[in-house]
Formats: sequence, C-alpha cells, structure tokens
Amino acid sequence: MAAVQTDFRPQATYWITIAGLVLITPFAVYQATIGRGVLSALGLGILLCLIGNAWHCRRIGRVGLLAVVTQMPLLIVFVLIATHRLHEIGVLWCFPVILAIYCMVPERWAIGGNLLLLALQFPIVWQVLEPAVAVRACTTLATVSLFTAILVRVISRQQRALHQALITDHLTGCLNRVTLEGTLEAALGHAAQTGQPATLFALDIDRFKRINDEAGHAAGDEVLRRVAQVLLEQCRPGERVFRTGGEEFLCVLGRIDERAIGERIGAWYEAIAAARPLPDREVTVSVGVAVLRPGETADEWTGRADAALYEAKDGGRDRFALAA
Amino acid sequence: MEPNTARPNADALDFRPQATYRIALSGVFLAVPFALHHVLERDAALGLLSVAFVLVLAANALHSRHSRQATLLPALTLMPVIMLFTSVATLQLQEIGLLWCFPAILTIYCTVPERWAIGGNLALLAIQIPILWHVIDPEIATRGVATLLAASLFTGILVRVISRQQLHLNQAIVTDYLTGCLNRVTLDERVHEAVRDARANDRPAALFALDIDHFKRINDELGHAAGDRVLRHVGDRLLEQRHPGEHVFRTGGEEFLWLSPGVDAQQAGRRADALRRAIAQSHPLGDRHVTASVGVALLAPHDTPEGWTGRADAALYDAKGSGRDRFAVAA
Repeated sequence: MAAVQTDFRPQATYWITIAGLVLITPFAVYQATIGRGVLSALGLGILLCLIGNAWHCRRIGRVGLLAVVTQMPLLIVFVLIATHRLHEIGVLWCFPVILAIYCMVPERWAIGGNLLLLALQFPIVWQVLEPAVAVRACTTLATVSLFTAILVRVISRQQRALHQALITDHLTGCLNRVTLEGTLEAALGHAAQTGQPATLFALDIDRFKRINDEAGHAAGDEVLRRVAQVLLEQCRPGERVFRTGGEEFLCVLGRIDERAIGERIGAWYEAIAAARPLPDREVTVSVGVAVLRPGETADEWTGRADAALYEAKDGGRDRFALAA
Repeated sequence: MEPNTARPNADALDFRPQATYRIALSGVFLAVPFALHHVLERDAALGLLSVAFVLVLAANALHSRHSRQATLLPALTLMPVIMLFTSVATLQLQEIGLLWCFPAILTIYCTVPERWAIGGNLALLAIQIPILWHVIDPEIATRGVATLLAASLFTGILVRVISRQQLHLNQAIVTDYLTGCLNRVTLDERVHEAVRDARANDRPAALFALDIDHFKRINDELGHAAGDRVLRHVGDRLLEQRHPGEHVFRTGGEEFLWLSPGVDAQQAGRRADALRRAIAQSHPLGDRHVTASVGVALLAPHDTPEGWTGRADAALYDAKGSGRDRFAVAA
C-alpha cells in the first residue's frame, strides 16, 4: 500500500515556492534597479533559499531543519529591514511571510519564529508608522499569526487522528497490516546496523473457528479483544503488536535471549488464562518464534515464524515453538 | 457475520468547524475594541458594520462549537460582512482597511467551504484592487496588491493541500489495503443506508456473500504470498463487475460482501452466477483451480440490516454445503 502523506508541509512548500517566485521576483528586480542594495540582495537570497529548500524538501520527502535555519531567519530579517526602511510596505510583506513560515517550518519552530518576528516587528512599527495605523498593523499581524497557528494546530491534530485510524485495527486496537512491512524493514535495518537481531512472535488463537461457530461472533470478537489487550499491556516501548489476520497476531520485539522468550510467552499464557475471555471454556494460543538471521529478508523471517507456529499447532497447540 | 466494529475516531474530517469556532471566538475579542472605537467616534458606516461583524462572528462561534460538519452559515453571513467591512474600511481609512484584509482572507479560507472561499477571495481582490489604486499612492498600492495576492494564494494552497491529504487518508481508512475493496469500517453504515433507501423508494436490493473455496488450503500449501495473490485477484474481478451504486467489501480473511441496491430476484441469480463464473474462469495460480461460493439474500420486508446479512451468510453456507463453486439463494 502506498504511503499516505500526513504532513501538509512538503507539498505546501513546493507550491508556495512556485507562487512566491512569481510574486517576489519583480520586486527583487525593481529594488535592484533603483539601487536598494540590501533589500534586493535579501530578496534574491530569499528566492534562492526558497528554491533550495523546496528542492531539499522534495528530495527527502519531508520538511527538514534547513527551512528553519535558512529560510526563516532570512524572511524575518527581510521583513524587519523592509519595515524599518519602507514602513507600510514592510508591514505588508510581513503577512505572506507569517503564512509562509507556518506552511514550511515544523509547528513549534513556526510558533517560535512568529513570536520572535512579532516581538521585533512591533517596536519598529511603532517607530515608523503613525499610532492609528500602527495599532491596526500590530493587531492585524498578531491576528494573522494567531489564525494561522489555529489552522495549523487543528489540521495537525486531525491528520494525526486520521493516521492513527488508518494504521489501527478497529476491533482490537492493535496495529493493522498497513505499517507491518515498514516495521519489519526497519527491524532488518536496525539489526544490520547494530548487530542486534529482533525477534518475531507469530501468535494464533487455538480453534478460533470453533469458538466463532459455537459461541457466536460476538464471543469471538471478545476473545480477540481480550487476547489483544494482554499483548498490548505487556508490550514494552519500541515493541509492536499487529493483528495480521482473523485470529492471527504478530509481535515484533527487540533482541531477547531464549530464556526471556520463554518467560515472555509464559507471561502471555498466564494473563490470557486470567483474563478468561470465555466463561465456559479455556482459550489458548500457539506461538511461533523466529529470531532474525543475518541477511534474511522480511518474507523469509515471517515465513520461519509462521512455520514455527504450524509446528506448535501440530505439536498439540497451547505451546510455542522456536523456528529452526 | 461478525458484528461491525466501531468507526474509527476520525469523524471530524473537515477542519473548518473547529477552526471556525476558535477563529470566530478570538476574532470577537480582537474586533470588539475597534468596533467600540468606531462607535464612539460616531463613524456610522464603519461603526454599524463592525458591530454587525462582531455579532456575526459570535453567532458563528456558537453555531460551530459543537458541529462536526461545515455548514454554509459562515459563507452566507460572515463572508458578506467581511467583504462589506473591508471595502468600506479601505475606502474610508485607506491603509487601515488594507491591513484588515489579511485576517479577512484567512478567516474566509478557514471557515467557508473551499469553492466558496476561492470565490469569496477573488471577489475580495476584485473589489480591493481598484479601491487601492484609487485611494493609496501607487508605491504602496502595488505592494498591497502583491501581498494580498500572496496571502490569498498561500492560504489557498495550504487549504488545497490539506483537503487532498485528508481525502486520501479517509479513502485509505475505508479501503482494504490488500484488495482495494472497501473494508469493514463503512459496512454497517452502507447496509443500513441500503435498507433505508430500498424501503423509502420501494425498490429491491440484494446482498451477495462470497467466500473463496478452500482458501485455508491455498494459504497452508502455497504460503501467504500466494494467498494474498488470490485475494487481490478476486478483489480485482469483483471490482471489475461492480456497477455504479454498488459496494464491494472485504469483510474477513477470504470473505467478501457485495451490496447491490435495485437488484431484484431475477437479476440477483444472474449476477451471483456471473460473479462465481468470473472467479472460476480466471486462474490466479496457474493450473490450480480457484473457485468461490456465493450466498444471495434479497431484502425481505421485515429484514433488519443484521438479519439481512445473516441470511446472505446462511445462503453462503448452503452453497458451501452443497459442493462449493456455486451460488444459493436465501429462503
């Protein structure tokens, strides 16, 4: 499944750069022709910075700190100097600058940058404009900054909630398969870098079909939820629990030795038995465990965990098997 | 048929109600001192307009406070007041009016549905640009126009990018990642809707429950990758046969549910057999035969949505019981 982009900034950066080039270029050229060296140099700097930043952002697929350390200071300095020298004109440019900062820079940095900009801009505005206009200028600048911050805040929260809904299995609260591949690849990469192999647990509820057929789907769902709850509760930071199919779960854990594997599974068994998902019958699970081998692909790794799971099932269920 | 799982906590797909509430509320506080100032100065036009503006803002804040869906209230109240206010302000107070245009642009984009917002912004610019040329010296007027354009464009870009991303995210949430069919997230809603519509319009509706035969065996013998290939393939065949208005869900491992509003008993048999044949005649695994069984249930007068899907499932079991690779119609 194609990755779904949840941050608006990379795309917004790209389009705002294009719009910015069209709108700013004539003024930068004009400033140069009438001999305003500093402002035209700054304008040119901003143009180059916009292009470099958009290119960088496209290349890495997300907003980096490049915009924070280059673009934002440059824009702020430009607006301050422009206000100091050209008065109203500088204030006017401040509005698109506020918007651009929020669209191109990560939220916290954008808020910080905006506060700095307003703190520096207000005294200059008071100095260069008559009070009636200065009050309105400060108010409208603060308003635009506040409204944009509100918009960005509301959006970020919604995008996070949507993304969470996308990667979560709605019945059990585990992760669904959407992020499975990425997680396995990350574990492979981490192992290659550090030499610390991750461990995969393939877990399957025993005779789940029978539970569903005999006790009903509602009972089956309750069993899934209880088992998932146990797995999630015992999950430590950095570990992931996926529901990969009907009654199948996959847990990706870090490096643990053989004794710890047994202990971990023992703890699951105890907790599942204590949870008593069904009043009238025992619910058990079988587990296949595979420790990542050097050079193995994700498919081979999950294949070995699955094979171990079958072995545990064949061996009589309610047990675990370590992959060869 | 498993009972449906809850829809994920992502109903708030539109940022506008929440943004409207916060922006309108802060707008009230920011605008009140200036409105008072105009009233005290006995500036009739601006005083009246700014008071109206504050009242409209307050009404929008109240209205959007608990709503989850954007309404046209801001477009029909807030937007016209903003237009009038900025026009009169620029005419009478020159630069000051121009300055108020910037928060106005943002407010419109944050509160009004996208098309309306674009229209509103174009109208605002169309009104402002001639006034600016008329009342302010050209040096500033040029910058006024350029920065208004920039602010409007930047905000428009931001809103556009966000709307598209939220649309994609929402699509991804309701879509089964493997087959491209719908997943269970919207199943309940759709079945209820189909029952309601069929009753309201006195039209038939049919539900097809489809299950790949001996799928577990494919998975066990050929591996999960082959199983996934079969699922994708079956999903493709089903989506190919889908007519407008019909919905295809992957409801479980190898189970699909097909919802056909408007299909009567006669058509239902034909459709069920066509579905079965489309799968039996394609060969996702080469030599190995892949077939599916289909259970059909026509919406009966006293069916509940749950009862209806239950009958389709029962018919599917009948089809499985009588030898697979066939369809059965629910009693």
